[in-house]
Amino acid sequence: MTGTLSDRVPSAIFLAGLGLLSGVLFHRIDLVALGAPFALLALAGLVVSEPPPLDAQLEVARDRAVEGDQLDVRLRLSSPVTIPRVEVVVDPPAGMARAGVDPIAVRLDRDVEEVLDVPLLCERWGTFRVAPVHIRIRGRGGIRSWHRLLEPVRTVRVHPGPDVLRTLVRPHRTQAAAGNQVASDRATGIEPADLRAYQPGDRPRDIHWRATARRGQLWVQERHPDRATEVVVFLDAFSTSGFERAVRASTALVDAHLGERDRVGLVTFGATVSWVRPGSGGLQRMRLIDHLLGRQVWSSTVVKGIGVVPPTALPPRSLVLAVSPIEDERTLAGLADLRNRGIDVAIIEVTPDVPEEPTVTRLWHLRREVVRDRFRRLGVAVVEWNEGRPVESVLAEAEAFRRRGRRVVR
Amino acid sequence: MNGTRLVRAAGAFGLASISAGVSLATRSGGPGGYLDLFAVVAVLLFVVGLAGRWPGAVTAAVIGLAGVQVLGHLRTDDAPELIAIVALLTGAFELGCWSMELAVRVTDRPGVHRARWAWVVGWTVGGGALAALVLGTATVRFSDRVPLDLLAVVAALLLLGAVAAAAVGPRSDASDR
Repeated sequence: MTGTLSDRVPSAIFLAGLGLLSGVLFHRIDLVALGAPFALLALAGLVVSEPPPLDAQLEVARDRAVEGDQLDVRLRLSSPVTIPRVEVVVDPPAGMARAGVDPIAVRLDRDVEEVLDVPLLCERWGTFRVAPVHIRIRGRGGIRSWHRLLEPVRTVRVHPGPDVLRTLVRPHRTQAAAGNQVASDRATGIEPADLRAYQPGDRPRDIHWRATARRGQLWVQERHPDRATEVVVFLDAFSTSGFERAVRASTALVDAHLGERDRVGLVTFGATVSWVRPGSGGLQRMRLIDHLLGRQVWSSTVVKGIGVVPPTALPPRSLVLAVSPIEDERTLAGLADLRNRGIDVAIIEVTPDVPEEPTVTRLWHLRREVVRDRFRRLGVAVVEWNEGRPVESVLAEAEAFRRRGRRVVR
Repeated sequence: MNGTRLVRAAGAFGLASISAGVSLATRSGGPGGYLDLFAVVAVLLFVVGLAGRWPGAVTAAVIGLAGVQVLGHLRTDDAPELIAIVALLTGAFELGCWSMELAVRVTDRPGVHRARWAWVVGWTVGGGALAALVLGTATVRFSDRVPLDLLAVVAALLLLGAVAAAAVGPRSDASDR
């Protein structure tokens, strides 16, 4: 605990010195009388040097929240002595804000616990240490004050706001496990696929009676099975430009695909490469979101290829949804490499900051168009995602491109 | 504008103005019309110090107001007026400094200001009482003279002690938890 003197103590010392010394110099008792109270005031402040004992406990209601949520933070204060004024200021980390505007000042009576609610507003996603609290205790008359910093007690993960996606990019290939994606294979399922003549071994329940009656021989209904897919969200962490939105989009993709009972994985490709192997369920969701919230962009010039990511993190039959500003050559080379290996890739292009110089801007746009064209020729959907455009419409555009591509590229 | 601060600042301004008024009303000489101007300048300096949160300006204004009292009473010593002036200046200084501390808007819970009000009132009254005590000691005579030497020694000791303690400044206490 750090103690400081009030600004008025030096003033009081000066006034006292001036009054008392000038009184002696000019032999005037009125000057001494004028300076005397200030001398006493200065002394009164200086004799008090011990801070009053204070017990402060910080409680944070939960360790997970969603953007826009109010996080309840509670501070319990008590003291075995009466403290006339205790000021409390919560210092929210960047990305959080005080829900109430002002610091709070309370009087602490002896052995009476004071409970202060200091809610915080989660303004953006991220991982935060909640929350440093500054406590200032003012002694009697406010001449001396003591400052104490309560260290953060809890790490709170704030998830990006719910961005519900109804449209998803459908993968070209599915896995053997059951899921919600209609597979292109023919097997037991719900979605009708085709009719064909009866073969020995076909199940009687698959016989299409109307076609059989019309043609005079047995026909069966073929169906598409509902399968799970493996989706890998590929986050480009080489560029800071649009990274926050990229994480937001990645979270929405993770949520949506896990909701469809897909197996979802994550690869963060940047100065540091990290991954979460595909999986499904609530635990996997937590794993992925925590991984996403902990990502940061670090500057790096190390040349690295997609080979640093283990095959288990990028299964061959998976759909790779890359969220990238398509700026860094290492990411572009990695994505092209994946496509050349036959992995299904779609790119959601997070538009980076546009250069201000007009000539540079034209060249910059031209270069980006070349990159897009390069990927489209490889059969990769590249969809631009500008600020303000919902992810939903971006995915719809990607899906439309892939449907066209299925007909044309194959 | 913080209403809480405004009340204290207005009170400090009021006490400073009354102090100047009492000094001018009871003066027994001094530098004539210049003293009025001096008093006005001191009060204005006090207001500027409060508004700008400059403790130095407030201190200078208090010196100015004390100077108005001293210069206006060079010929006669009026004890009751002097006691009142000391009390008023102590109160004005305390209230003014308090108002400067309240510049940041704070949500005050009930009872927070109770002790501080008691402190200000106590110091205002106590300042007057101390002035009376000092004036009373002036009538005490050792060997047929006022013990100004004794007062000077006490004042010097007080001052040295205060300066030494202030020089220590902010410190970390062992009770850090």
